[in-house]
Amino acid sequence: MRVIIIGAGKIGFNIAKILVEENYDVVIIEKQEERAKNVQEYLDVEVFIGNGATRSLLEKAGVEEAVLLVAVTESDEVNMIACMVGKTYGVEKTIARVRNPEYAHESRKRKDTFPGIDFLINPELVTAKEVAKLIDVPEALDVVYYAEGKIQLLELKIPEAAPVAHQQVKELKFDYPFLIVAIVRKKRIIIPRGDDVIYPEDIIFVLAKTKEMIEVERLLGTERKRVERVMIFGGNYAGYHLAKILENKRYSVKIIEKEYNKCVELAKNLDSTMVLYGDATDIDFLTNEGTGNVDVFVCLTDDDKLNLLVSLIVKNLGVQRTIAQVRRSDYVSLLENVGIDVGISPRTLTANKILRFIHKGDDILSVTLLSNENAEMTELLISKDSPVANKKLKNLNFPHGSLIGSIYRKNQVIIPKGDDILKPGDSVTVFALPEVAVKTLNYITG
Amino acid sequence: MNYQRIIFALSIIIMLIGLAMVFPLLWSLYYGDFDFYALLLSSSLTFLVGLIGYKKTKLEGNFLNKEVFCIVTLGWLLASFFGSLPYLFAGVFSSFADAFFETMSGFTTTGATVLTDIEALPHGILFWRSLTHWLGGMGIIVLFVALFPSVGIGGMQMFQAEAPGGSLAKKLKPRISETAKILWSIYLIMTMVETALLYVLGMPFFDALCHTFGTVATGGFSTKNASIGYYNNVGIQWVITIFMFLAGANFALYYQVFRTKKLEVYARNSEFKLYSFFVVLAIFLVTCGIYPGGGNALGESIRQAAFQVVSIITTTGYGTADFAQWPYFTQTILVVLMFIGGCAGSTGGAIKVARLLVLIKEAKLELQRTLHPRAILDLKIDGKSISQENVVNILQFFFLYLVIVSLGTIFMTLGGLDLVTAFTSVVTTLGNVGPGLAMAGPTQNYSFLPAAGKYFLSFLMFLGRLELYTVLVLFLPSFWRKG
Repeated sequence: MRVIIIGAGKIGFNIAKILVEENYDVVIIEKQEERAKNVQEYLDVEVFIGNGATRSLLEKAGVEEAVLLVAVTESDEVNMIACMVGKTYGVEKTIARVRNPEYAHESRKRKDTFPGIDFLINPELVTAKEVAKLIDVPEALDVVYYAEGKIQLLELKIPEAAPVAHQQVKELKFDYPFLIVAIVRKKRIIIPRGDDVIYPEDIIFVLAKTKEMIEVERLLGTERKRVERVMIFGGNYAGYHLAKILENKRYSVKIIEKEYNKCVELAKNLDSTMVLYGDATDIDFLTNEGTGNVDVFVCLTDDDKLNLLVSLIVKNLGVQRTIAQVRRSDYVSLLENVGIDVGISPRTLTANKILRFIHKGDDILSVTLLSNENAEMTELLISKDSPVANKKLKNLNFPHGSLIGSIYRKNQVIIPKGDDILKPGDSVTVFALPEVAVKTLNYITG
Repeated sequence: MNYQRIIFALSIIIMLIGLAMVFPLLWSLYYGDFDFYALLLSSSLTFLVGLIGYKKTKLEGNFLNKEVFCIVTLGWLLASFFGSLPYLFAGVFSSFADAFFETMSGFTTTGATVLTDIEALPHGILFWRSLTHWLGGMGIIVLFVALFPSVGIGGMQMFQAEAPGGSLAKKLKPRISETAKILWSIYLIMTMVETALLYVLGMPFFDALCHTFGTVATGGFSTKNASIGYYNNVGIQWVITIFMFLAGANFALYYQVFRTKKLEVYARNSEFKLYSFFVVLAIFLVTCGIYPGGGNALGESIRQAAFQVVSIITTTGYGTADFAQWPYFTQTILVVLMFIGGCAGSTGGAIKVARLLVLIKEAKLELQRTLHPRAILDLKIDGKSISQENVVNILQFFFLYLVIVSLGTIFMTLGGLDLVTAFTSVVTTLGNVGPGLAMAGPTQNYSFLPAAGKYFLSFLMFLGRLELYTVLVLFLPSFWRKG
């Protein structure tokens, strides 16, 4: 199947890499020769140089046979036009990256996107939404929702004094159904069995009903802290979106920006958020604004080094939790060693979001990459002729490295045990290690 | 400045005034009163003067900013001049100062009178008195803009120079003449509904119409010496209370409700919320002031409080009770309300709730600035940011308002008046309310003043109605300099 990707920047490159691995025929259109060469060197793709929004070049790239067009150049307008043009050739799915919030603004009058564009992706908005989720559940390293938000998956770090530390998984008996889907220990992913032991400093992935998760966390020893005050450093699009989301959720928000004109613009567009004009590396300024009492401090500038530095400064001032944006996704795992609580890579998030949309089929509701792409969580529907339907879980032979995390049946959430049965029409979440992901899906869909 | 253009526009305004006099003429004919010839004479004379001016001039090009201010201020002065002719010709007043005061009080919807016995007047004159309210309430210039869209670009400036709340009043349609038409239509509908209600509740049709004019324009002229108190009818009093309240709200909101069919428009408008809050709070406080030991039942006390509070805050000035006899505490509250006034885009006068809203928010921001010197704060009303120029404009307005009140009080005491009379007469005329306290109290009238005092208060009404700047700008020397 042919896929056209326009723009070989970081996101375009990332998506191309993953799609190549999934056996798509990838064609890339890139304006800059330098980048085009780079792509050709590292990926098994065909590359054209030029403007991807033109009919001539799209035809050369084989747009007529393409099932997917992803436009992720730096220019919003080029991306949008490329999708519109592609659609006229009958491309099934088109995705455009649009950063300007004025284009991406959701209208109350028209729910649909622009004609010819199936999916608008706004990396800054995606980043902001992700950070907002992490502020709602501040102790988590990652938060994912399934079954219309009724099921929550959290990535949690087990503290030293946790009551569950040094206990076997089968010994954990809570009043609320939950499931530890995976344990990450020393960068290795373990799918736990009953006699596996949880150690402090382990990172666990735990599934439970969203409304009972607070209780489950209390029992795990990763109790939820209430966040009231949030401070954001960096008033770009991402910072603006985050402030907007948080002020609507009634958090008390302050945003720091060092460019005066941006401050004025932010103050105009934000409501209860206080816009501070200043330099976040100035410790006096931070102390005066009571930074030490802030519950969460988020660094969202485009400069990785600055985000890192400011995160360390505010951590020193006594901030409970720091979240920093890091452009280079390979740095994310390093950050957490330095003392920054969560690192966020907009590039990974965006690629992830685009992949979710690409993979979304009739049966597959969503795909999420977890733990730096070392595991996958797929949400899918059980069809009538699925070989696993109407059988007890313990009698099924799921590939090693995979498991069923939750079942969602007629507005009911089930955290499954061996005696539970999968029924047609259920939507289930399936956890799998990358090497068995395809095999697992095939086992379910037949 | 192009004087031809100015005279052209003024002539049309004068013709409109002349035409408006035909309505009292018809009433006079109907009742067979002696003022028929006086009205006929003033109407034809006014129209003729306008017609000559109109025929002799031509409209060329667009109005300059200066010309717009000239047209609006001179338009109002000329309207008041010609509007006083019926009183003079009918022999109601012997002095021009009295007639001018009464007409200015009518057009500016102040409702302060120099008449001692209103009921002695013939019907035609009574109707003209109330009609001046009605014309001045929504605005003579707004009417002119609505009827003559050809004024084009200048229309917007004229509209803003006259509309209460100035730039805070909203444009409803891309074209200003359409906006003016919509506002006048809402005004007309409101007038018809109130007249019908009052008529059904037992007021004679003539009285119902005159009192409606006084209500929807937030004027205050009555056809009875005892004002609304004359009817002693609870239903009538509540209807007038409600319509005064409605006339004191922003007319643009009615259009938005009509268009969106959603009442939430009110809940989302912070000016309307603050206005309602002021009204409810003042009613509560005044009730607390007059109920204990007042000799009235609680229901009656609330009704009296509600009527008087709404009458004063909307700057109408109708009365059902002599609040000068009420406890000092309640009098103080009413005087404070005289400063507040109605909403921007209403027919009410005084400072306007929208300006107070900006002032309150700015005060809050100023406190925040002290605490967070590096904060960039933006003043927003209903999610829209108010530019710094607008904020300064409003702060200046407030300052000028207080300066004028102070200087005015000094001037009035110069003639030997006591402080309460002098102060409240200045506040009440500048705010276009009507009644003050002491010698200017609700059961009194302004006939005791010397001519200079009457002219001065007329000037204050004029200044208040056009919201200071429009008139004061004419006093700038540079305004008259060429080039």
